[in-house]
Amino acid sequence: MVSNASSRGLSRRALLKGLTAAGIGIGLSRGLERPPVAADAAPAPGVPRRGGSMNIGIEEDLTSIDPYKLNGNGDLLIQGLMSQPLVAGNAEDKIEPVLAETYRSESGGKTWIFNLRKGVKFHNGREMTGDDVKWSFDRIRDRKNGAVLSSIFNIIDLRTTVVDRYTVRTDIATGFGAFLSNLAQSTRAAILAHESVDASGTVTKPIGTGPFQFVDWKPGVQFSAKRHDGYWQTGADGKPLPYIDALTVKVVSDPSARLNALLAGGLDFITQPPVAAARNWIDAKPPEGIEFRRWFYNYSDYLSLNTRRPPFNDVRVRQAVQATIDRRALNDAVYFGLGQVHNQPFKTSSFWYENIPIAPVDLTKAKSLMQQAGFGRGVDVTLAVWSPVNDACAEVYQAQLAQIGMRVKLDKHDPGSFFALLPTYNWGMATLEIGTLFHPDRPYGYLSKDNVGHPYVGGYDDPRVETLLAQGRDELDPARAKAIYRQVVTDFMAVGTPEYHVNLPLIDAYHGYVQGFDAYGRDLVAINGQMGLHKAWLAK
Amino acid sequence: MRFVPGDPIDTLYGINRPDQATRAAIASKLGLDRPLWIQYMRWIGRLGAGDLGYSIRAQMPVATLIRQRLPASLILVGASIIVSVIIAIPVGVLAAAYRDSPIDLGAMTTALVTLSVPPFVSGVLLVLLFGLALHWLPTMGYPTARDGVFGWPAHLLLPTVTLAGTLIGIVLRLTRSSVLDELGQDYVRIARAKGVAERAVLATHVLKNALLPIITLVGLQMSYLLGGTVIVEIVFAWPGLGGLVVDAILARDYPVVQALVLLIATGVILISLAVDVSYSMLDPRIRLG
Repeated sequence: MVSNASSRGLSRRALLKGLTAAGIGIGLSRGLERPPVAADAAPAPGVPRRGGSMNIGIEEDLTSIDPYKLNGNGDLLIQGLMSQPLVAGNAEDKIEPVLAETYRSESGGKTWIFNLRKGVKFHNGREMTGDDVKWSFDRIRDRKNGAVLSSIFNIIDLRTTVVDRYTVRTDIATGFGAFLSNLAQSTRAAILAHESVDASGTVTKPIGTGPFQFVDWKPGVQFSAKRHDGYWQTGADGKPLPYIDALTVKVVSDPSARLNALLAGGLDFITQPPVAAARNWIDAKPPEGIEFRRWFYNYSDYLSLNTRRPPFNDVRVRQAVQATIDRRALNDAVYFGLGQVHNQPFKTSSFWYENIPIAPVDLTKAKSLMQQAGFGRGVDVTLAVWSPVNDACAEVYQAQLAQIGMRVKLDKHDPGSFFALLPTYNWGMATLEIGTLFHPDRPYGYLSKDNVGHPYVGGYDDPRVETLLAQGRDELDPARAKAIYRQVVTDFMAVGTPEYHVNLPLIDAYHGYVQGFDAYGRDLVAINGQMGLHKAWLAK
Repeated sequence: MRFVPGDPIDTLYGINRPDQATRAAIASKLGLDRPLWIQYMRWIGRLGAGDLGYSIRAQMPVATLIRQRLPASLILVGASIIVSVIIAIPVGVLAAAYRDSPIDLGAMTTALVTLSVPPFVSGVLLVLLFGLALHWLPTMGYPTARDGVFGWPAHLLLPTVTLAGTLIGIVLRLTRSSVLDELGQDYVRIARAKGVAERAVLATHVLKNALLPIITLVGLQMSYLLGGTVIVEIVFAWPGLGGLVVDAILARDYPVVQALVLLIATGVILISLAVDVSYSMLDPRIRLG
């Protein structure tokens, strides 16, 4: 998930900056291998109790009330409460049905038939039908509505036809193996009721099929929702989920303030407490009455090297960077060892993750490569930093690359200037994050010149890789697609761009009386982003 | 603001940058493709009709956003000013009256400490003590109906004390200095020579004259605080205008920034006017106009 605008200047990353130096010492002294933690285990089952309201603290707000503009962690949680897509990715990133009960492709992937789940009600009581799917997809395709998937839907010339009340056909210009994974990008392709928009076509009140319905939104402050009485999933008692009556999601951008509010009882559940605190809880124990869970989404930091200009237009310099960055040290310093070290933008348990060894740190080799490239005396480079989100990572990169003579100047930007800078290629390196992935087309599409609606980052231009990416994108069979992407990953690693380092840990902390919710992976609908809160109940 | 790199579309989409055609369609819908002067004139025109514009990010009227946040800001700033004035002025007067005594030393030390400790440190310390260790007070948030009548002082206390802390230091030092200046004036010597009680000298004569610069300072502080409480708002998750300003700037939400600049400027003017009017009430020698 690309985290947008941690806007108050004191996000989790900014506070971690002050702890980085101590963290390095602690992490290195504890060794570099991190065993699995007890917090990864599923919660023990209990007997659900209905009723009550829950106060949740999150680190960032909605980007927009429009679910099709989903772009940040706040969107993922909040929008996922209210609306749902036809399909979603499961724990292994394989696509499974949600609002579509079954689906199949025809004509070499140019046509997809979706058979809708019957009896699914919108928040306003109306049943979801094929007309709603067509309306939703047409709205996404209409560029002026600004949907994130608008570019892709236009490029593949998506046309939607209602076959009957519960059957929809989508036709696209070419077989597109990543089509379903795009529909699975949380609520970016959710099915909305047309009553959600005003006369200008702007979403004012999202009316979806999710377990919770919109009540109120105070931007930057809080979001309120109440249970959807007609929700289609049932609980252990045979009655519709969710168990709790209402949710209030409060924006508390400072992680320490979030944690303090949880400990003081002002919040029942928080996302992303200070990572240092989570580390302490693992090493010692959490405060009495508090539990926490660590889980992984496909959500990775990465370092992009601008291949369009010196020094990174030289493959040897990129390979030198590859041989220098110590992922485990980065993980220890910034995430206190709680992240998942990797070299691809997927979590290690993903279907798409290839078992390709991580390049070992070899400073001798790195220095030799720099010498061969003509930078034996060092080189000055800039690192565009999305501040304060990636400040801590940037400082670790700066320190590590100094070992091979790379004098990295941090060029910090707020989100607006950072994302305006990227397409100019007036930068040397850039720190980035990427998430909401169920198919390699998206992350590797960022690196493709001939991309399908993805921004082009890094400037890398290799016709052979472009051909492989196009093949992978069009391949309908996941196993064959995976083989193609293995070659893509291998090729990218050989030329040293980009560098995926750590899959970010997602940590939730909550009072012990919050039970039943199911973090990512053990319930299909949970992956919609709302962390299985549709199954949460309060044992108090 | 418009010359700062990045626009609302950059911040809205981040790495998921739309292609050129989509970007152009969005810009057209938002009116961002018009020349800057046309956008400005449109905004002025709507302003004349009482319309503060439409937030690009929140997709709701700017007036609604301000209405959601203004009461919280006014309450926090007002409470902080009142608390700081109630504490700082009497203590400052005492410190001046008992110059170089333990009272004076204690007052000046307090002022130094409150000025030296930044709000994000004092706020966190107060949270740790009263919220976590003692469980006496909530650590965050704006009170709601659920919190009951006692929810208001409970939620308000810690952010108010945090914000008032720095103000107390500033006002206390100025009060002491201003009162000391007045105590050196001839009219004070004459009053004492005529046998006026010291309490009356201070309260009736000296304080009235010493208040003029203090009122100016308090007015300036209020103006600053209207949009300058963002640190306290972050520590306590207090939904004030400071956070709205910062969020709007980072999001390049031009209509919101424009409206807030106008609002805060208007607030500053009104406060300055009130300060000027208060001069004439305190000092008959000053006539307005």
